[in-house]
Amino acid sequence: MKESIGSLHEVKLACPDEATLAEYAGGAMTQWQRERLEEHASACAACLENIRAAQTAERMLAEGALADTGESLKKKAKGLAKMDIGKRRLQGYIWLAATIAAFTLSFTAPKYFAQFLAAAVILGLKWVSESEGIRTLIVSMDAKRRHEGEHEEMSKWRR
Amino acid sequence: MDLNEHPEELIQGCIRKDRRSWDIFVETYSRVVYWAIRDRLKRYGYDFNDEDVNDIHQDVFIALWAGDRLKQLREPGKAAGWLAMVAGNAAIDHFRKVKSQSPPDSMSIYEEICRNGEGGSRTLEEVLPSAAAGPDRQAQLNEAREELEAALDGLNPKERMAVKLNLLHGMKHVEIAAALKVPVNTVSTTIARAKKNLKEKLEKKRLL
Repeated sequence: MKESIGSLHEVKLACPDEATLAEYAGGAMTQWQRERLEEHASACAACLENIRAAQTAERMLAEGALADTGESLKKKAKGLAKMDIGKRRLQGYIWLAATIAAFTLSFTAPKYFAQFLAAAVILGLKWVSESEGIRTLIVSMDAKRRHEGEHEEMSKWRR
Repeated sequence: MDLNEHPEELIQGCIRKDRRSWDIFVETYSRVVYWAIRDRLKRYGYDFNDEDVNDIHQDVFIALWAGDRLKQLREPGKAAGWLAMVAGNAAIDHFRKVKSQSPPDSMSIYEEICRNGEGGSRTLEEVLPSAAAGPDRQAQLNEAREELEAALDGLNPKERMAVKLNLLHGMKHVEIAAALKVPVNTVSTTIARAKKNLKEKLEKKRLL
């Protein structure tokens, strides 16, 4: 594959993950591993951009040059530790199941069509209002899935 | 024990789902994640707002806490750098998935090419003669990138990395030296040689 200056896509599939690049930055790799990574990174703008970001972040944090993010963002992130993912997942399923049940009943019991449809809308809104928990669940499951998938792919950089 | 002084203990505490460790971790590294998201989105030219940044920030911490992403980190001493990469890539993923916007095809080339010293963050787009506009200007930039490619012929991978980190990514010599674990003099010499070579090529083509 022809690699060009500044290309952000062409060699992306074979990119080492962030942990491998951090090992490179920390000098933890063998000479052979470093050379392999350099061969790749020298033709990959995405990896070079990661190296730049890592180096700059380390320096700015050490110098105290990074602005605080404010309490609300930190509070939200800290709040993750209080959240019981299993319980939230169960709650999400219950609201979703109730919505589907009410919607189905509105057709199977035509006499109460409007009432069940209204109930389905209300329950559906409740389910949507729990979207933060659902979004959290999706992102965390996605992260876990990726972690498992990347593990095998990345092990080649450490061989 | 001050967990901030012992990053390994802090990371292990978060992996064990220890609430105190997590609070300290968020307090210490939230600013890194926030900076890295904005930095990446700005450099890649995305049109973003505070809501985008806040969403990505939360997604990164969800992946770290609930997705056990911290288990991937093998160099706790480089947690800030690792997080900056994770957050920057999460920002790109967010725009790709949620907004269906891909990153740009190429990086800007920094002004360093036509300077002798360091400093400045203007890109080649801003430096090139402004007579040409529209498609002609794009053609000029593409030609400049091709000439840069040619100017890197004969360099080994580490030297190519040094030149690109300087000319395409705007890093200073001393930062490159720290990142590549080479003496700063070596970095400066390599970059000066490549810049001279490139400048000659661009002048020959009347691009400078």
